[in-house]
Amino acid sequence: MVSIKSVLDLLAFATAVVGSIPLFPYLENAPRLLFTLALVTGGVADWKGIRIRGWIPTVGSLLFFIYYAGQFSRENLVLPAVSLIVVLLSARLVSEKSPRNYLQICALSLFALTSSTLFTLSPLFLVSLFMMFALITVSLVMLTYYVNATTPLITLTGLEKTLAVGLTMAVVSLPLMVFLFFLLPRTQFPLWQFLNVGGPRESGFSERVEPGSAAAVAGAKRVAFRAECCRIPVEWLYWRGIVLNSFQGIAWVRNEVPPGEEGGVVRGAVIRQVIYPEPGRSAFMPALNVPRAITGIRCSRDSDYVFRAARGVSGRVRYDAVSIVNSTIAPRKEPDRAFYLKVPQRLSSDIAGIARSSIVQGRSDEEKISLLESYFRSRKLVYATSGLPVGEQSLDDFLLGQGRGNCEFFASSAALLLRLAGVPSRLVGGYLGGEFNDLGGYYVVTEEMAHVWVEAYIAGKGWVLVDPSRWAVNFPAARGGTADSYLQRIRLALDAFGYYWNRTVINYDLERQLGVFRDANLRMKRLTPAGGFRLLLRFCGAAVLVMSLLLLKKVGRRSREERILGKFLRAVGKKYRVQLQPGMGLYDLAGTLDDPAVKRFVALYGGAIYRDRKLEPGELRELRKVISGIAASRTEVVRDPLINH
Amino acid sequence: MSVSGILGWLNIRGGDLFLEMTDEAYAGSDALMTVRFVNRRRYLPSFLLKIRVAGGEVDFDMVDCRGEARRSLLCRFPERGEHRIARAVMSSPFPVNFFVRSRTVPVAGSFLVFPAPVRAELTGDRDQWGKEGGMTQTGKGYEGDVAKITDYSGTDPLRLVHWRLSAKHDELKVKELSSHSQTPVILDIDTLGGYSVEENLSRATYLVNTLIRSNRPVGLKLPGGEILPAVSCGHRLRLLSELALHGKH
Repeated sequence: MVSIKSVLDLLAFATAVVGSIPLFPYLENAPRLLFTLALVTGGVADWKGIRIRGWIPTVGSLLFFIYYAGQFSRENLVLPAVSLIVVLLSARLVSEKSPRNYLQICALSLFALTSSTLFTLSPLFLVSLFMMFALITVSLVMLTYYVNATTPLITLTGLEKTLAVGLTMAVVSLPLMVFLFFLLPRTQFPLWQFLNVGGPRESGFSERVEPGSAAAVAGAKRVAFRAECCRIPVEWLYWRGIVLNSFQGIAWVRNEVPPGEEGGVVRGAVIRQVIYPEPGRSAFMPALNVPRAITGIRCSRDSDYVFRAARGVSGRVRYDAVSIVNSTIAPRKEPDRAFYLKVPQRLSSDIAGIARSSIVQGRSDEEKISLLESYFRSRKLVYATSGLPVGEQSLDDFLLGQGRGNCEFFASSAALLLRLAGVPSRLVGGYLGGEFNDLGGYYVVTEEMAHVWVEAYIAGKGWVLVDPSRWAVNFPAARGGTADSYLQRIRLALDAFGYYWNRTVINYDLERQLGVFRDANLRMKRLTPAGGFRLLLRFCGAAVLVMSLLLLKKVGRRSREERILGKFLRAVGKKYRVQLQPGMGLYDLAGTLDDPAVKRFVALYGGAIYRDRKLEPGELRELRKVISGIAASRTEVVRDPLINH
Repeated sequence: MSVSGILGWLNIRGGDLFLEMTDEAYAGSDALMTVRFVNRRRYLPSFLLKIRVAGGEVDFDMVDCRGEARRSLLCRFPERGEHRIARAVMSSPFPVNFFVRSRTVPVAGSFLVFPAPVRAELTGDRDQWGKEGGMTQTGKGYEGDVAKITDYSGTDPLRLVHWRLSAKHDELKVKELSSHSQTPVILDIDTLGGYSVEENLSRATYLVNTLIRSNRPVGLKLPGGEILPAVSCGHRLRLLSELALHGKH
């Protein structure tokens, strides 16, 4: 026998833990400590049967309430409220638990879990939500049992059955919940977005390129954005974010674009993308180089094809981009040469010397770029993210000394040398590459793929893409794609889950809601008979597998003798509408029915079982024959027109 | 909520209720009634059922699939005669205690309630009624003293075999017991000295029970005939039934 209260206590603690886990990283130390203490103290008190009077934790939580009420302000709204929820939950965990208290624990845990979405809405929330849903459902069923049962104890089998019913309720409700999630209308914009604070910026895409500021750059694996589009060649995967058009001593920055640069994009393949950027503070909106138009979000476009969101991208958004890849930006008028040739006044004589000796000789701008490439290749420069030159002379060190640098060094020095050689140039910041997720049909671009390259203006052609990093001796190895390992596939699968989470849950709106139905309809229409059959086969296969497992589990518990007796009783029950009553033996049953087949079965079965031996294979065969005889005669009876009358 | 509603709906369905009277029921007295619940469902046990029937209620915490359970309750009928209970109310707060579902279920319960016994004495029979003991009849019986030892006739009950003696002889010996009995009496409802028929019936009930318990054969004089005296349990119930249904046909 098990105490129902102990089961309820366990469920209450589990619910509280599941509700608080997603919130825990965002809490202050005091509520964290209090919650942990409450878990331990409450657990021990319940285990040992010690009663902690309700007023002690109530007074404690009242004091905390006063403290957090003082902290409330328009700027600090969420944290005090969330902390208070955790404090109240702790108070409930530690005190004596009445049925009302169990309900309060469930409610507070749910509030805690829900309030974690004010900080982040990660797929962990979904996992916790499902777990909490199951726990609360089972707790409610157990609580009902606890309140209404005539005894405070329950047998293990009874407990197993009650828990099974609770879990079945949860499992059956889940598809319904998912269905309602898609069905119920919702607002176009997430209501809580204003409370979300953007994640901290990590190394990666930057609005300022400053080579020499750090000895090492650690690329973060944090996702920058996901782009839904077809698979395209790797060499076209330049994601344009920002153009840095001015070199101010030590850093490249973006200044206002000189007027009169408007123009079009020539040649190239048109690629459409749907881009889901991760929440960040940058307003620049990356898209495949060169983006022609971005829709779906309010943004402005500069004449150098840099798109900027009207308001900062703090929450989760999505936008559609149309790009013309492998192309050139061709302004109608020649750009402001003075602006794009401007170099810092205090420039190292070494760099100026390189420009004079190695590049200026080129007769055309294109030849100058070729000379620059030859120079870089002759220096056998190494692409690296650690051991980088630092300080004001970092570019000199890069070109003439260490010969190690990341894309910032390659691009900065190349653009500077081109400017010194009279070729208008600028830096373009964005990303290079992307992992294509076959499962979701999108590219995932991480911050470590942040990249800077050069755009040089060639008269008659326009702004052409020059990526000096490619001239490094080790570039393909340093920036190449990752190996197609098993782990990577798992990572991509997990990422697809996150992608669909964002797409379906976070960025969900009415339009998308209708889209889901449209898509489902289209897919059903597109489904070929063979494809449909395969899908049906898979579904049936899975269903059969689950059913077989369940049946196996059930059948496995019963012996051969029990199974054949069960079959016999079912056959007799169907034929004569009788059931073996408690206290009634098989011989009694045979005595009440005037059926030689029944008597034969009972004699054979009883002859073995009541002599405490198992049935022989021959006996089993005969018993089966007798049962089928009973079942067949039943069919005849039903078909008999006289009986029917 | 919808899933819990469906589950609660299912929980109070798929079962049968049977009522059985454990005790003899007398008008105005408590009697023990057994409520038997049979769960006909194959997969879902029945949880936390409350059955209200005949002014009382019983609780079933859990009845397994294809299982049954019994609970007893005290009930009281104010009048003698045949009482039928056609319905019971089955309710349950399962699964989440937010609301209680209930339904009326048909039950097959028909009970005979005997008249309330009222202490009485036999009129005109005071001498014999007050005496100890009785008369020993000469016939064979099963509960008196050993009258003699005879040979086994082939139809004697085994408990009468005198094993020790049989062991000493070649054939089985059986004990022949005397039959204890007292003078038979036939009760006439009209002469029991009560103020009303009901009171006479109550007195007759008392006398039937007391006399038969003291092994005195009792018969009953009825308007349509007479029931001859006897002392068996079945006979007692027959007399009580006649008293219960007197004037109700």
